[in-house]
Amino acid sequence: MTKYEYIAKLEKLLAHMPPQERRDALEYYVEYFDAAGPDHEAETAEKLGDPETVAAKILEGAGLSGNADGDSASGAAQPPSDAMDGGNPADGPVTRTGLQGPGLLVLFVVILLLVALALALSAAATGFRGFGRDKEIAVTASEQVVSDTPAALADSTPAPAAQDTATPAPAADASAPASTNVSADTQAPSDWETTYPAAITEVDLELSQMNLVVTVDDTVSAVTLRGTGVADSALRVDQQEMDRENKLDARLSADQGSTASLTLVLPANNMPRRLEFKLTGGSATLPDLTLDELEVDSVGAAVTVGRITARKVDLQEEGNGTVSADAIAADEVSLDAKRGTVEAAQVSVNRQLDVEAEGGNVTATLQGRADAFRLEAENKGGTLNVNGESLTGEVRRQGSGSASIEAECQSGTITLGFSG
Amino acid sequence: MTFVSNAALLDAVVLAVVSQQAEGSYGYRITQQIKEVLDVSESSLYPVLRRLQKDQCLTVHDETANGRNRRYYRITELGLVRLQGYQDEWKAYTQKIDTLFWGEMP
Repeated sequence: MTKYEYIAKLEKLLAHMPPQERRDALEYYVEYFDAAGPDHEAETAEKLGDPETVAAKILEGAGLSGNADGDSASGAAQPPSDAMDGGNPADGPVTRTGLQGPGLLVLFVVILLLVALALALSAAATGFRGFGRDKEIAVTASEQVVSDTPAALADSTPAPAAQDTATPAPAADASAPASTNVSADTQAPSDWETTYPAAITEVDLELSQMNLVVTVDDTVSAVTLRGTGVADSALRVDQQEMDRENKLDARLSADQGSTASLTLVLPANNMPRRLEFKLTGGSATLPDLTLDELEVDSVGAAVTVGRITARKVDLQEEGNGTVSADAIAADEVSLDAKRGTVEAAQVSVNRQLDVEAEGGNVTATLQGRADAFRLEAENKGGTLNVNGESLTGEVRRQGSGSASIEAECQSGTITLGFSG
Repeated sequence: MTFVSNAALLDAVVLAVVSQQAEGSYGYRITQQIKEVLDVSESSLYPVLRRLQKDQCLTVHDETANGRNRRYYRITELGLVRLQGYQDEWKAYTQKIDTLFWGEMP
């Protein structure tokens, strides 16, 4: 497990603690991982033991034992959740029979196929559109399998679909595990909303000439897309990725100059661990986010990003657009301006910062002192300015800390400042 | 026979380890030092540190190391007094056991 995964799990298990106490406990373990070293995350997680046991000890120490996890019927003494061997350890509202592992998966696939067949037939009969049908399948099939394991965001290896589509949303919140809402029921409604019932762990959107707004909402329990000014039939979702990997992989294009917009609503209590946006033209606004990985690939779009806390952040501009972030705190950061501008006002990097300019401009202000970073820089023909010093050719410097910077300027400008 | 209880021994050992440094020590290091001596699970230490802090035997202060935060625990006067108490009890207790094993010592 990575540090991020471990801490995220722990945070969920400590949900019922007073906020300050919870913060202190999580902070202790974040520091523990840091002190053990970023290269030893898996080992450290192993030595600490399951988050469930650690959480139980914390809660006991705080005098809150027994109510370890109100979300799960099995509470703190839950068996290791990485024993993902078919059966779900929790006692969810749906009683499982003796079917385990492959048997359950086969059953699920058979049901899925039967439902798909039934809907395909009825869809053909009523002339319903293709995309809507796909949504219906995901919706209905998932309703078969509901459980309230407090599985955290990314603690499963690619497990059988049966496991993952068991929504880990808190049982109390199972109000609408699946809802597809097409507000106008004309042939191609241009104002629509779709909620994805599975617990999405990754979102990958490829958009063209769209205005994207991403929000984090603690009143929703599932990832939702809302479109305006664009037909919902234009949205292409990779259903295989959804079924197999709980990944929302979607494409949407609008005409140039359109005012089409897409809102991606992320459930605060069930955040995907990875977000990737490939944007051609248009614009995007991302809020403050805490996640494992964020990648933004802009081709001429205007992108503004809030304060990001992650393990890995990649921002790239390939057209004449701008990607601008308020703050980034991550283990690995990559800023690349093939053309256009990439800028980040406050960058706190624990391990590695990669900066590249191939004609564009990259500007970043790093937390810490310049001499704390190991530096490998190469200026092949642009302007490379590090800590107020203009560098030419190849420069290598040792740093006093454990983080390093690699900067390559082919043409264009790179400006790195340090806030000390 | 307070030392039969692991909780008391753990408290005593944590206080002893922390008291060894004037400027205090941090969670990970405290844990590693204790593990050299006692077979405790790494997740047992946080509740102990927390409780000793609440009991005013330890104080905390934060320092930045490598751009990251690190919380240091330091022993207080009260903590030293409690540690002394544990040390006296330990001596008395182990002397009794020693006598049992090897007879009266001169």
